[in-house]
Order: sequence, then C-alpha cells, then structure tokens
Amino acid sequence: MGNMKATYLQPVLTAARPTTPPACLTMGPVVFNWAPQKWRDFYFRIADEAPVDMVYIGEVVCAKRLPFLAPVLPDVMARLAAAGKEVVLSTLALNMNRRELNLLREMASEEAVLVEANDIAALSLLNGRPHIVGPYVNVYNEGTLDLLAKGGAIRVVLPAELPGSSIALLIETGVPLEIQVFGRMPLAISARCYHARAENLHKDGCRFVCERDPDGLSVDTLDGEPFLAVNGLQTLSHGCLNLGQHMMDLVCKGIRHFRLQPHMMDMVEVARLYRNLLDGHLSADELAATLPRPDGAAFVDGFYRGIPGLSAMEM
Amino acid sequence: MPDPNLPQASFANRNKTDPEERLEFSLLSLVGPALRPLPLWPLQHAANMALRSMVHRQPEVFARLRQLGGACFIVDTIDLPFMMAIWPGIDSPRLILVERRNAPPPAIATIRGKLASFLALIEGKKDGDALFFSRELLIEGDMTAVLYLRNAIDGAEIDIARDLSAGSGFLPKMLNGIFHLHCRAMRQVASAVTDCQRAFAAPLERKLAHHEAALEALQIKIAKLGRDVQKAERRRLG
Amino acid sequence: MRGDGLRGATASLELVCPAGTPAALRAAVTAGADAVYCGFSDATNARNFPGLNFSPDEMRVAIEFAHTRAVKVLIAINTYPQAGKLQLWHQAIDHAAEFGADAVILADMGLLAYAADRHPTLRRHLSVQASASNRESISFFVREFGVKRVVLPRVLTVEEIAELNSEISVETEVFVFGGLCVMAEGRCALSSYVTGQSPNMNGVCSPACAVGYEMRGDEMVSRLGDVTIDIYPAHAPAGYPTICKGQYLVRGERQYLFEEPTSLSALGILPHLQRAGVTAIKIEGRQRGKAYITDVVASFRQAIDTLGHGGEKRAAALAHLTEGGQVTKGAYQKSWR
Repeated sequence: MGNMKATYLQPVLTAARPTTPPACLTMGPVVFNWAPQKWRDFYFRIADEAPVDMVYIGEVVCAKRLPFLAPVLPDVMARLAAAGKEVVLSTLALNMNRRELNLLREMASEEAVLVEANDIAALSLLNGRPHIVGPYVNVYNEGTLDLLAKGGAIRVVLPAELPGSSIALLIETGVPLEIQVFGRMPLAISARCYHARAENLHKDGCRFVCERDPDGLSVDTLDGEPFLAVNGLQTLSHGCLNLGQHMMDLVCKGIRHFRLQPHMMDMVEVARLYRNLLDGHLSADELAATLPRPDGAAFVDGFYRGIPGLSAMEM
Repeated sequence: MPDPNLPQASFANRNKTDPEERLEFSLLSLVGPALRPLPLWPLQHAANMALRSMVHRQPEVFARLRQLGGACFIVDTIDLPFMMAIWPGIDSPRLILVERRNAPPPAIATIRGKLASFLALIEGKKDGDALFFSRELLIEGDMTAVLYLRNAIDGAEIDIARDLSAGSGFLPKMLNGIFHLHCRAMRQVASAVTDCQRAFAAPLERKLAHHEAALEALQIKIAKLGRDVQKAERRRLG
Repeated sequence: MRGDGLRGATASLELVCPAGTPAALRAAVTAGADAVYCGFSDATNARNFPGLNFSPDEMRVAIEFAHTRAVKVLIAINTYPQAGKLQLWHQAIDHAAEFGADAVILADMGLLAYAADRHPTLRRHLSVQASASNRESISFFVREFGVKRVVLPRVLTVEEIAELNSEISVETEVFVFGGLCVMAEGRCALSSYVTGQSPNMNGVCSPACAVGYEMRGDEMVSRLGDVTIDIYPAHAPAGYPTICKGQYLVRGERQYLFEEPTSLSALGILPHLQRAGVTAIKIEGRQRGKAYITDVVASFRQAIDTLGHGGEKRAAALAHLTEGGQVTKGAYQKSWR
C-alpha cells in the first residue's frame, strides 16, 4: 500500500509481529467550514511538518461549502503528494440530489486518486476498484466487512460507536482497518442545517454561519454541561476522543492505521505526540497531559470501552 | 424520612412545592372525610378477585410479566383516597390498596394519574405515550420496568367489567356490586374535583354535598348488606 | 415524473402499519392495514423495547391471522448485527422465511446477502435504517441484493422523492405519521453517546433503562443517562427524551436546536406523495398502544380511500397522539431544512 515511512516501533511489538508493517497515523478530512485560505495553509503545514503517512481531504459534510474549496484543492493535493503523503479524496456523507451525485461520479472516475467512500452511493460507484470505506458507512460485523473487501475496499475506517470488543473481532477478518483516535467524533448527519437553525435561518439561506465555529458550535445542556458540537448538517461529540490508552493494544491486535481528526489547533504537534506514543517515547498519560483540546473539551473513550461514548477517559 | 428505595421526588415533597397540586389535594381533603368511613376491605376483596380472574384469563400476559420478578409498582390514582401497590410478576400476582395516610411499600416505579386514565390505559382504550405526552400520566422510577408492564398490558385484551363479574356465589357478587358502585362514586368524585378546579367555590359546595349524600347512601347500603349477610349466616347456622 | 406515465396515480397507496404486540397486530388488521410490520423480541429489530415484539410462536400465529384476512406481514430485521453474533440475525431471517412472511425489512449488507443467498424467493425490502437517500445507493442495493422496495429516509422533499422515483425501478415506501428522526436514519450515534445503546447496534434509541423523570419544584426534568434533555413547566406537553428533541443552550440561549418535541404527519399531503410515485405509506409506532394503532390506521385508511378531500382536518384530529401535541411535515417540505 505504497510509500509508508520506515518508523521505529517498540521492540516488543516488532518481536510479536515481525512481518507486519509499522503502525502509521492518518490525518482525517477537515469536517468544519474553514476559510479556504486557512484550509490550504493547514494542509500545507501538514504536508511539510506532520509525521502522518496519509492525508484525507475533501468536503464530507455540506455540498454548499465545496465551491470554496475547489480552487485550492489542486494545490493542496500537489503539495501533499510532493511531501510523500498518500492523498485520499473523501466524499460527502449524505448525497441527496443529482448535482451531488454528479460530483460523486466525477470523483469516482478519477482513477489516479484513491477515494474514501462515505455513503453507499460512493461505494456503488467505486465497486470493483480499490477504495477506502469511510467512517460514515455502517460497518458493524464481519459479514458486511467481507462484502466490502470483495467490492474493492483496501481499508475500512470503522464507525465511531463500535466497541473495542467488536473491533477485535473485525480485525480477525484480515481486512485492514483504520480507527479514529483523536478529535471530536461524528455522531449524526442530517438534511437539516443546525447551524442555520440556531441562527433562525434555513439551509438555503444559511449565510455560511458555520464558518464562525472552526471546531463546531458548542451545545450545552440546560444544566450548563457541555454536550455536543454542531457543524452544519453534522453533529459531533463535544468530548474529544483520545484512544491513547488503547493504541498499543490495538497495534498488538493488528491495527495499522490511526486517524487524527483535524481541529483548529497545532495539529502538527498533535501528530508528533501520537507518533511519540506509537514509537514508545511517550506514555498514554503523558500524551493526555500534553495534548491540546478543542474548546477545552474533556477526553472521552467510552465507545471503545462499550459504555456511553461521552464517558471520560480514566487517567 | 423518605424511603431510600422509593424513586426520587416521590410523594413527600409534592404537596409542598406544587401550588396547583396543593389545590387539588386540598379539594380532595375536603372530600376525604366523606370517603374515610368507607372501609377498604370490600374493595380490596373485589380487586383480589378481579386480579385472579385476569391471571386466569390472560395467562400468557402474566407469563410475560414474570420477568418483572418481585418488583412492586405504585399506581397513584390521584383522584382516589388510596393508592395501589401491585406486584404483577410474582407467582400469584398481588394488589394491595394503600390508604394515603400510610406509607406505600418500596417500589420500582410510581405511576401517577387519574383513575379514568388508568382504566382506559389498562383496557387499551387510550395510548400510554399519548397520556404521557399530555402529562395525564406521570412516571417516576425505573422506566424499563414501566415500559415492560405497559407493553405487556397493552398486548393483552383486558375487560375490567368482565373480570369483576368473574366471581360466583352470593358474597363475591355482592362485593362486585359494591365495587361497581364504589367505582362510579369515585369517578363522580374525581370529575367533581376536576370541575371544581375550573369553577371554584359555589359549584364545589353543591357537588360535594351531592356526592356526600351519594356516599352516605352507599355507606347505608353497605351496612345493610353487611347486616343481611350476618342475618343470612345466623339463619343458616340456626 | 416517470417516463412511462403516472405510476401510482392509478394504483392505491399501500398502508403499512406498525405492530409491537399480537394485540396491536389484530388492531391494525381490523382498522384497515394493507400490511403490518413487526419484529422478533430481541436485538434484531429497531424497536427492541422491554415487553414488546413477537416470539417465534406469536409471529407464526400472527402471520396466519393476517393472511386469512388478506393482510401482508413484513418482518423488520433492521438492526446491524453485532460482530460475532450473526447467528441471531440469520435465525430471524430463517424464521421469517419459514413462517411465510411477505417480506423481510433489512438494513445490513451482510444480512441482505445472506437472505438473497439462502432465501431467494423471500421478498427483501430495504429498511429506512440503511439510509438509501439517492438513486445510486438504491441501485446498489437492487443490483447487489435484489431489493424490491426501499423505505426512504426522512431527509427528502416531496419533489426529491418524485425525481428519485422517476429514476429508479423499485417500489418506494415513505413514513407518513409518528416519531420523526431528524437525523438521517441509521446514521446516528447520539443515543449510544449518552447511553451506550443505539438503534444500529441494539435496536433502541434512548433506552428506557437510561430514562428518568424527576420533579424540580413544579417542573419536570427529563434525563437520559447523566444528561438533562429537557425541562417542562408544570402541565406543559412533554416528549420522548430523545436527544434530537431536547432543549439545549446554544450561545447562552435555550433552543430546541434539532427539533421540537413533535411528530411527523403527512396526512395532508398524501395526494402529493402518490403523485410523486410512492407505492406504500408507513406509520411509525411499534412501541405505541392499541389505541394509537386503531386511531391512526383508521384515519389513514379513510384518507387513502377518499384521497384528496379534507386530509388536513383529519391530521388535526390525530394531534392528541403526538409528541408535544404538535405535528410537522418534516423534511417533505423544503423549509424544514
């Protein structure tokens, strides 16, 4: 699967699985509405400095944001490729009309580019050629995973709510899996724009108010507890996923791809910290103590532990 | 001391905090003395038999309810002077009428509402969710148990009148008759209370006087029936 | 519209009704359902509520009862099997085939493949939980698994449904009444974020075990797990404690950010749905009582039989059965977005 960097892995792990490739970090697509300039600069810096092997780009939440990214997309792809990163183009998670499907067809017909399919339509169009299945496709069991692999999936990014026990069983299928380990988790997608609704606007006349919240709009309970983060059509956790404590276990079980979810923070530093963890230079506790957090959110890992997803990580 | 086994926010703090409910309760307390002379035992007996009849007629429903084990539910009929404690999941399901002045047994959940709402719910004439959405039913405690109970009951085809007339022999029939009369009087009291809330004092007094009269007549009737029974017993023995 | 003319303009809409218990199934059949959908009492269906649904024996009897009255039974096996536990879901499909169900309603790809392989003559409907919201997704399920009908997710406008129906060859079924998912169905993990259980994995949204109501003074607080979902003033209409119908603080202001406590009602737009080429209309509410089933099914039966005359009036008559006593046309109208 291409140009993975040679990385130092803990000797014990290397001994356990001497023939497997080393674990690597991937940078998921920016899901928020960042100004094109910021968006481009973010990826340029990732290309130049971040110890990640794969970078996903593309709009996954709202088709209305796409025209703004389109002009800077080629530059970003070129810069990432030049830096030796494998570039993956992510599709929209919810496609509802002809225009969106046409765009999908266009992306799927680019044979030179690896595409991450985020809904069934994309899967359908990519069927039979190598592609990645994104976290917005429902993959819960070995039956579905096998079908996807037969359809050409070379890697499957698992949905956020899967417990570790399911992940362990899915690893046994041998289909390469990728797991998000950092950042807010996508929880839901809708036809309705909540950013617009929060401002008493409709989706069609939204004035792109989602741009105001580069990490999502905080939603608190009536008791004042931080709860969710809204990003246009998407609802994310307020809590910030950090699977640092479980990554060594996942590496042992056979996971090789760990995804970081971009936030408006020093993501190069975030990548370095996770790289250090994978390389055995940093403990999970040290990682948690050092990592920046979006809006000061708590670190959570409940889904992985098979309990409510908002449950805070145990330190 | 509040019972730690009871769900939070049970009856203890209710009267203190809710002005509307205080009104409701003060109205009931006006009606209460009129009801108090009525002993609960005939009602308790009728309820026992109705329950036995239901168990007999709907074994599959009660088989489902076994999952609830020894869980007790408090059915708080707010327009009656008593509550019901029900154990639907035990081998021989039990229902105990609890006078409002007595503490109810520890319960897994409390369901509060008017008698008419409960009767309609049990007979499948009203939808539990709809009653809940409109706040006609209030639920406190373990929702899983309540849902389980609700779904099992809704899955049954219960006819309370039929179950009440299930007993045979003189005494059960008489008691069933009393239950019917009692129930009707209760419903009238209940609707009177509701009406009173809408149009306060004057009609309240009239209606209460009317119901007190009706209840007094009932009391006399019960006393007479009791004497008749004793007479009949004496005749039989003598 | 379709190239071949006005499909649906001549055929009557098929009325698909919910049943959570054998008694509810009998109520739906009696009230005029063309088809009833129900599930087994386990995690294989998306209304896995305590005390609800059918044992295999009850299902067998229910199907016989419905068939003698010329009513179809569709069995919902529409959750996503958990890894390592496929057997339970496979058994549900086998039972459906054995009992003579008229169709199974499935969402998971692996299960669709299993059903197509083991029981090729058993009709396969695509559950709303599969979230097939466009032509390409639907084509995929038709091509790969021989799906005959698609239950459309509640994200499309009537115009989009019409456009879709003009492009696909299979039947479509749409929700017209009851609970309203505001998120794309089958793509929502809000419930498991708070409770650890979700519609996809466990067949429950806001499971009862996580629900609590507490009184704070004269206000009723609805809680889900450790999260306050809403606070209702005394006697104000209430709703399910589902996260998407909760009230929250957004930039310091109280808002029903996702949706108010409300239910879907498309009773007033049935003619539009029929003109949009829809084959069947579906009522939500397998968790609801017989009284709801009887009222709603009878209203829709009457509406279908007298299509186009006074539907709105009947919609108002059903308001007492809805969350918060309110109804919405939901995504069927574009302004909802």
